Order: sequence, then structure tokens, then C-alpha cells
Amino acid sequence: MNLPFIDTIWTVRGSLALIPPRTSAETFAALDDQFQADGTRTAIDGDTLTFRKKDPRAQDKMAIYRSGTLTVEQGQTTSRLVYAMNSGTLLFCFALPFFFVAVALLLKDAKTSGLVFAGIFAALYIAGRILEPWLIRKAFTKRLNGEAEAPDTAPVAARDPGAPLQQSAHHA
Amino acid sequence: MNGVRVGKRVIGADSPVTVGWDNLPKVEGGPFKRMFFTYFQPAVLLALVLFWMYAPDSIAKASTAIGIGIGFKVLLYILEWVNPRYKSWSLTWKELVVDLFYVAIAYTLIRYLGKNFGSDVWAEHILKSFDTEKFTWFTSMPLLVQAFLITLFADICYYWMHRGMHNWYPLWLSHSVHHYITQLNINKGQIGNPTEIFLIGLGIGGFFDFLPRAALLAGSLGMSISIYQHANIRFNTPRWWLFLFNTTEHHSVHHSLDYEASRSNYCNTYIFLDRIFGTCVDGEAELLGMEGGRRMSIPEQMTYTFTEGYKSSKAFLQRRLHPAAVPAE
Repeated sequence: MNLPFIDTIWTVRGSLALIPPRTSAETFAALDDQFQADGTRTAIDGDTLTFRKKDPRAQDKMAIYRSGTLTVEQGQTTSRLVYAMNSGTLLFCFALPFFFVAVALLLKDAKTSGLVFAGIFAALYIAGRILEPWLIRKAFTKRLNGEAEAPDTAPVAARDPGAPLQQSAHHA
Repeated sequence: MNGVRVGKRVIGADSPVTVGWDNLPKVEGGPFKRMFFTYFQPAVLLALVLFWMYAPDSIAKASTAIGIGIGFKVLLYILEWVNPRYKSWSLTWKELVVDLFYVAIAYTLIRYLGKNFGSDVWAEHILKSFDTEKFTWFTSMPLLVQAFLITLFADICYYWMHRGMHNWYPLWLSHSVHHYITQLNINKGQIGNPTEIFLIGLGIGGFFDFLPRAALLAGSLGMSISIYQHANIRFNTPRWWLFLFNTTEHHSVHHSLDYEASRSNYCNTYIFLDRIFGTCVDGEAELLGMEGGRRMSIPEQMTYTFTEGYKSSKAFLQRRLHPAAVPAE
């Protein structure tokens, strides 16, 4: 299901240049530790890695993500990692302010507390929507490019992580 | 793993548990930091006791207690960040969202249920036909003694409710969800199936509304002692405090992956109750949870009590109605 813009609520997308350029096999090997976590299943098909998580550990660096894809795209002399990942936690946090506003309106004894928590979750959602993409980009950059911060690459077309990925024209 | 014998039980046979106080890690850092994290808990207790005993009526109100409670929680968040007990219990954004969801449920839906269907209703009805004259012997005692007796009575009730939850399967179904938490922090006390949060909230608090100052003082005693039990803060807890009060150290043992260790330290405030009833284990554990530390999702936390109850009831009925169909072990 392709829901452009709306799925930005729960989908984290990004891309980073691989310095020096790497093949998909080298890239996924470098990221392997990231996916060696309880409740995580991965599958590699050509230049695309697909993962799915169930009940990840609290300290799993990717605990907020439920599923996603990572693709290595090869240019003439460059390569880049493109990722799109779904987060059930982001969606849940996004929905919570609406839920607690409803609680505040329906329960006469919970008006103040319901509205206060609705505000807290709205703030938490904004914080998480900024923080978590930054953290995962930092983690990928560290594993792939060492400490060097990878420059952001050109915007990537909106993609449904659940849909089949387009194969890169240049396979390593 | 051999474990350590404590009384008639072997603690730490399934998962590591530090037994005794001598092997516990200490606060690392300069003299100020070590002094701060040694005397913080007693200092807060003393300050709150003095405040609620001597503050004028104009500020000694329930709203002040709520404000102090919120401010104190914020302070403890900061202390968890400054001096965590274990890095493996660090607060993440996801953990914070999940924790606060349960806190919010407790402050809204569960509080509404408690107020309309819980012990507050019973207390209100009983207090209507209550002759406070008969309690002059109690109200004539010093305020601090009244508050201590209220908290002691509440904790005895809590102890047996909690111990019952670990020993009677229908109650365990409700409580077990709380034991799937894999790390401690200041809000983890609220994590659990809502049926448990409601059950554990059935208390005696409302019965003491006719003693407003003693009830507020009792509340602050409870807060300044039992609030630390889920906190991820490394303290150099004084020995006398460890002997008298429930601490993170005790409660981490209670949440340990080790089965025998988890059947200890049932009290909420006064660990000497566990000492009296023979269930105290002094120590600390880092690896927490159930089923090897599997982390439950919120949907499972919400439904586990009912789905497991249904499965158990069905199996029980099948055994009773069709005993021949059950294969012999």
C-alpha cells in the first residue's frame, strides 16, 4: 500500500553515500551486527535487505522498527544505501494524543490529566520523529563509513517498504 | 550455574543474582558525587517528613503533594541519566513512550475505575457510618506515629496481595505481565495488565481521608521510600536503610530472571516485613524478566491475562471432562 506523505507518520526514509563505494554484499556484511538481535529476521535478495522484527529487546538500537528494506544503489563510480523502515511505535505515539483527548472528553474526572498526557505524547511524537531517524542514520554511518558523517544523497522517491523493490541497474 | 543458598532456597541457579551487600557495585566519582548518592534517599525522607509535619495548612494540601510528586519524578529522571545503575537499563525513546502510556492509563482510566468502582467507593460508604470518636486513641498519637502506622498497615495489605499474586494462579495471570519487564526505571511500576493496576490500587488510602495531615504524611513516607524500587539509579544505600526499607536492590532481585529470586521481596515499602515473613533476599540482579528476557508488546500485555486465562480454563475443563483424552506423562 503506497500512502505518500501520510506514511511519513510511521516510516523513516533516508539514504547515505557509501565512502568508499561498496558492493551490496560488503554493505550488508558491515551492517550485519545491526541485525543480529533477538526477534529479528532478515532476507537478502540481490541488492536489497529486508528485515522484520517481533518483540525486540529494549536496548535493541532498532527496537522502534517493525520492518523495512535497505537497498544498495550503484552509480558509475559511487554507491549509496537507501532505506525505508516502518515503525509501529511512531504510529502508536502519533495516535496517543487523539486517544487521550477522547478520554478527556468522555470521562469527566479525567479532563485535565487526559489533556496533559495528550500534550506530552504530542511532544514525544515530534521528539521521536526527529531523534530516531537521526540515531539510525548515525548508527548506519558509523558502521559503514567509520566515524565520518556521510553526506546526504539526492532525495529518494517515496517508496512503500512492503512493496517489491526496483532492482538497481548496476549490480556489483 | 549453582546459585547461593539463602535459608532453604537456592538463589541464582537460573540466572545471575548478587546475594548479600558486600559485592554490590559502588558509586564511582568524586567525593561530592559519592556523598550525594549516599545520603540522597535519607535526606529526601527527612525533608519530606519535616515539611508535612510543620508546613502550615495553607500549603499542606493534596495539590502540593501532587506537585512535589511530579517534581520529584523529574529529578529522579535526571539522576537516572546522571548515575545509572546499569547501562543495560537505559531509557530509550520507545521505553519512555511505552512507560508513559501506562502512567497515563493509570492517571485517567484506572483512576476513574478506582474512584467509581474501587476501594474509594467502599471507603466513602464506610466513612459515612463511621464514628470518628472511636478513633480518638489513634488520632491522639503523634502525627508521625499515625503516618507510620497507616503506611505499615497499607504495606502489610500490599505484601499479602502481592505474595498472593505469586502463589495463586488466577492472580498470577494478572500480575505476570508486570514481570515481563526487562529493565527498571522510574515508571516501570506502572507497567502491567490493567486488571493488576486496578487490583494493586485497591488499598486503604481512602479510609484515612478523615485524617488529612496524617494521610498526606503517610503518602510522602511511601513516596520517599518506595519510589526508588523501580529506579535505575546507583546509590550507595546505607546499610540501615537496606535493612528497613525496600530498595532498587531488593526489587531487582524480585524481578530477576531467576525463578526462586523472583519469589522474594514482596513488600512495597518496609522490607522488614519480608524479613519477618521469611521472604527477604538481600542482593541485586541485572538480568530481569521472564522466558529468557522476552519483551512483551503492548497488545500482548493488554490481552495476555485473558488469553492465558482462557487457555488454562479450557485445558482444565478438558482434563476434568475428558480425562482419558489427556496423554499420561
